[in-house]
Amino acid sequence: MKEIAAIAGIYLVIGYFETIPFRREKRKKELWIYIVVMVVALAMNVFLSLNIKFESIASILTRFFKAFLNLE
Amino acid sequence: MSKEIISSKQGAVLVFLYTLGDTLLVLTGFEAKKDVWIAVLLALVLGIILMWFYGGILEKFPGMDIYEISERAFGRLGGKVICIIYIWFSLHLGALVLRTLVEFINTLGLESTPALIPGAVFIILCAWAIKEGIEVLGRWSEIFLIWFVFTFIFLLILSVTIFDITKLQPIFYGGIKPILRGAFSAFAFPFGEVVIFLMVFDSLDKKASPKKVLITGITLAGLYIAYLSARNVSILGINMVLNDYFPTYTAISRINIGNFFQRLEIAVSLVFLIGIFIKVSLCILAASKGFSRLFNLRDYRFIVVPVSLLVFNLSSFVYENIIEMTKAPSKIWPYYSFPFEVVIPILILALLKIRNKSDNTQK
Repeated sequence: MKEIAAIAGIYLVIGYFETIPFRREKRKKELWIYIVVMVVALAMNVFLSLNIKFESIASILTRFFKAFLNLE
Repeated sequence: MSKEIISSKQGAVLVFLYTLGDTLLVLTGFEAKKDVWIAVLLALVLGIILMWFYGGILEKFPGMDIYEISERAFGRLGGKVICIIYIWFSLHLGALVLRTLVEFINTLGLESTPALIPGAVFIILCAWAIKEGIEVLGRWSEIFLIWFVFTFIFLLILSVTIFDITKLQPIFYGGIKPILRGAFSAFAFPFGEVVIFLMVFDSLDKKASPKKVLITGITLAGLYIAYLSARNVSILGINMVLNDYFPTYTAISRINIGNFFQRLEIAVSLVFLIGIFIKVSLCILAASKGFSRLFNLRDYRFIVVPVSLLVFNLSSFVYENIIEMTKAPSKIWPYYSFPFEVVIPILILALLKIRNKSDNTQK
């Protein structure tokens, strides 16, 4: 949990300083896109920190193409 | 915001360094075994034809990237779908390349350091470079090209002493089929990956010919890769090359002239870093531009840091381990990347031609 809190803290600090111009100029669209992409990146980091095992993208693709193209 | 412009020379150097990128580490086309260099040359010919197509698209719409061009071809909604497809491709490619570098550092250099650290340091540099813009990246690549040329000449001379040309023989021993298979995989990785430049070459000087720039860049890179493949096989032998994770690194470590010129692999590591830095940076740039086009925004710089973090985190999910990393480029990547690299650009070009024709007949 400490690791996740630290990572979230880093994201928050980066986000705070990076979004100063948008908040000052009230560019809401940019601000929201920024927040959404940051949250997705943070979610991936949380999964990594929690050691939740996913099948890798390469092995998913391998399985798909083996079935689809009848590869060896 | 002022428009960024890169010269034709800078463009060609970027294409050259980008194409070499991680290919220097994980060589390609080894289905052809000893004839790998022939497979690479064959792939280069196909690559040049592909660059002709890419150049044709860019020449028709100077100052526009593929996101804008696809909106013209497929309409607003279709254009957005293509935009999302290419954002994914850029993110995925960037993550793959970054992971290759991290595995390289963790396997041969910093074995006890968590993979997070080299990746994080590298991605900070890439994000910084992209925030400064493609102009800075173009100038940077021009400067570092000197190091590339220097190491190429230096190592060419030194490695001649350990060349064993018999290891490359007999030529065409396995027949034409393995060579064609090798050429297909070498075509997809790295030559087809130049599709990323359709997303970033809106900054190319309007006086420059995109066809010339793209073809010059990949021709030089292709010859370099063919030379590297032949050198690695002639130094290590095909079995060792196939069983090694990073054959170029191992081949260079064999150079030892009078116990004075030795441990030269460190010079090559720097060359790897330069190529991979350019490749990851351009992938981040392409994805950031895609995001800004998707939401109709003027500037891409605001999204560079989140996109870099996405690439960084995605790199942990792309491969399970180093074995998967060495197998995937030849087994799956050619099939997976083919629609992104060939089918969609050709579809765009064909649709634009049909639209042009129907517009002319209406007039």
